[in-house]
Amino acid sequence: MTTLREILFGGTGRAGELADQTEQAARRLVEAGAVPAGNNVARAVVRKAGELLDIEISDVVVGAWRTGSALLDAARQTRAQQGTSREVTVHTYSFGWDQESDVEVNVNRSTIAEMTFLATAQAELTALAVTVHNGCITALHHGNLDLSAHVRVQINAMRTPKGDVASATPLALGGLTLVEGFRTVDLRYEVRLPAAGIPLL
Amino acid sequence: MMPSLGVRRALSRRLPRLALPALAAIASLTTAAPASAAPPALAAAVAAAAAANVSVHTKTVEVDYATQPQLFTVDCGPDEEVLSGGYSAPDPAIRVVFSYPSNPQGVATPDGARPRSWTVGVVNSSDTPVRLQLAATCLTGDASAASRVAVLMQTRAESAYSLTVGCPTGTARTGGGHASVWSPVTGTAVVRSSYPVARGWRVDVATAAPGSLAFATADPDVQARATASVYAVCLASGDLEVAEREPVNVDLVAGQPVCPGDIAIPTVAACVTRRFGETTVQCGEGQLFAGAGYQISDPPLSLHSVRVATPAAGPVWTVTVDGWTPLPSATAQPTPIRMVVRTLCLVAQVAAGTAGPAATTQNPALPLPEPSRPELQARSDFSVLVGAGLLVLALLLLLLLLLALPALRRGGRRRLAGSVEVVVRGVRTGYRIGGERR
Repeated sequence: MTTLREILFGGTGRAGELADQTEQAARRLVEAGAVPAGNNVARAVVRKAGELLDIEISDVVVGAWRTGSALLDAARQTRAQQGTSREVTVHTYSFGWDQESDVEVNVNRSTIAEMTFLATAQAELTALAVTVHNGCITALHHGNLDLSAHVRVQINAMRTPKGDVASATPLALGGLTLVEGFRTVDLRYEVRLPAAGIPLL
Repeated sequence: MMPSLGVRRALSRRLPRLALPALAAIASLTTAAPASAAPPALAAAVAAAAAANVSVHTKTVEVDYATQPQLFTVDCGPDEEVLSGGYSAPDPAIRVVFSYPSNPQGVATPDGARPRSWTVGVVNSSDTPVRLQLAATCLTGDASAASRVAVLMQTRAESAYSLTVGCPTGTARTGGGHASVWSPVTGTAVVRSSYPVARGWRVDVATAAPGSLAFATADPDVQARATASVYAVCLASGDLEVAEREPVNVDLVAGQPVCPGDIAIPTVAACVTRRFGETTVQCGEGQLFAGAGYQISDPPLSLHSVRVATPAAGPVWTVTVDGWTPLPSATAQPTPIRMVVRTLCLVAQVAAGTAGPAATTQNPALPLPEPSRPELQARSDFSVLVGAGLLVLALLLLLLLLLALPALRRGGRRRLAGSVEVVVRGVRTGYRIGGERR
């Protein structure tokens, strides 16, 4: 199952690509003056940004369906009328997903920077066909997902070790783009269907 | 917000302590006349003062992580008058941004109104709950007493300024506090000193400037400005008056300089040094404790360095300052910083014919015992000896430090290369569906 981390930082099976993406992102951080050069701080920051995106894209998609979609309406109807099923087809369904993560960067237990990772994904599902029964998705017949994502970093503060004396690193409005990625996937192979189906309610 | 741990203590000091010296003073005034000839108004005032009582109400709470200030309130009793209040937040993760007289809901008392409680506003920047104690000093047993609040609010753009509010005629300040409009982006007022002045209360305010923590994400073109309020608690009493004790001076201790080493941090001083000071003050024999304030000299400490400024058991008042100042180099001498703590005490009115409202005074109505000249001389000699000893000790320590500095620096660099961790403080997620954020 594909994760956002794989889309943005490369798959775990492609070690070379993973290292390359991480190195490039780390270099961008250093070049922007967001973290000090010459040690592993930038790599640690990028690694943490990746860990925070160890989220399966199927979870993101199902979360969107649960938040607001024709599937949710069908789930409510089939739950209200026990024993009924509905075949739902959706030509196009778009949604965005955002994650903001506040982190502190500590060197020798002293905080040297505070920053926020802004991960944004834009998804477009086409030709979606599913069966909804008793409030759950019980079959996924068809569905393509185009997903683009990027991670930006906003430096909130930099500090001397243990001190409050601080300064912001001037970054462009909206932060520095760390990494970007795009992937098209077949949802039939991404979404796990348990025997009881995927509850939408 | 975590539920309050709900500690509420009342620490009482009945006024026999106050009344005895007062009666002694009366006796000294009336030695030429029979006791029965004491002025009736004076005797009545002392009798009324003897019933007065001061309590310190405290509450301990746990503060969760939040980027916005959380308010906590401790109440005085229904028959009590608020005199002052404060907080104890020794954990550096807590920043105390407000401390002011209020109603029990935490709403700041408007100008001229009677305060019922004391409210403290804090921001906890750590991901673990941190304990905070807040306290209010309350007066009871004085039927003639009434406390009112005087407030001054101003919006200013200077990087540092003072706000002073005066008490109305016929009242005297017993405590004071501060609040500001909280805005981490456009700047917020940071109170560096909060202390009594002749007829009111003053706060020294610093506006978070561009380049500071508070301005971290802001547009650099935005002018730093802050709206701050200073509060004075003003007491009117027919039986008591307010006296200020001799100020207590505390020279902040400077710690060992901490230098970033090979961490390249732009626009930040080469090193910083920790500055620490703590003192406890109380009123003299025969006096009741009302409140206290602190005034810290330049150079400015790091933001929110006053960790403790609170009434406590005794009652006494404790002030703890723990902050940082920049240093141009590891060998530079830190500029001395002095903290002056000013204590306000309640004393019985014994001036002839004082049955009317209390007058603000700078001198105790019941003078504190003055040391005799030989005693002063002895103290002075002792101070010289102690000072010389400390100087020798400091020179020895400096020598040791200079010898050890190269090794410490090498060790520091080794540690830097070895220990890097990125700690997640909070994660927020959301969807955008149909142009709507959910």
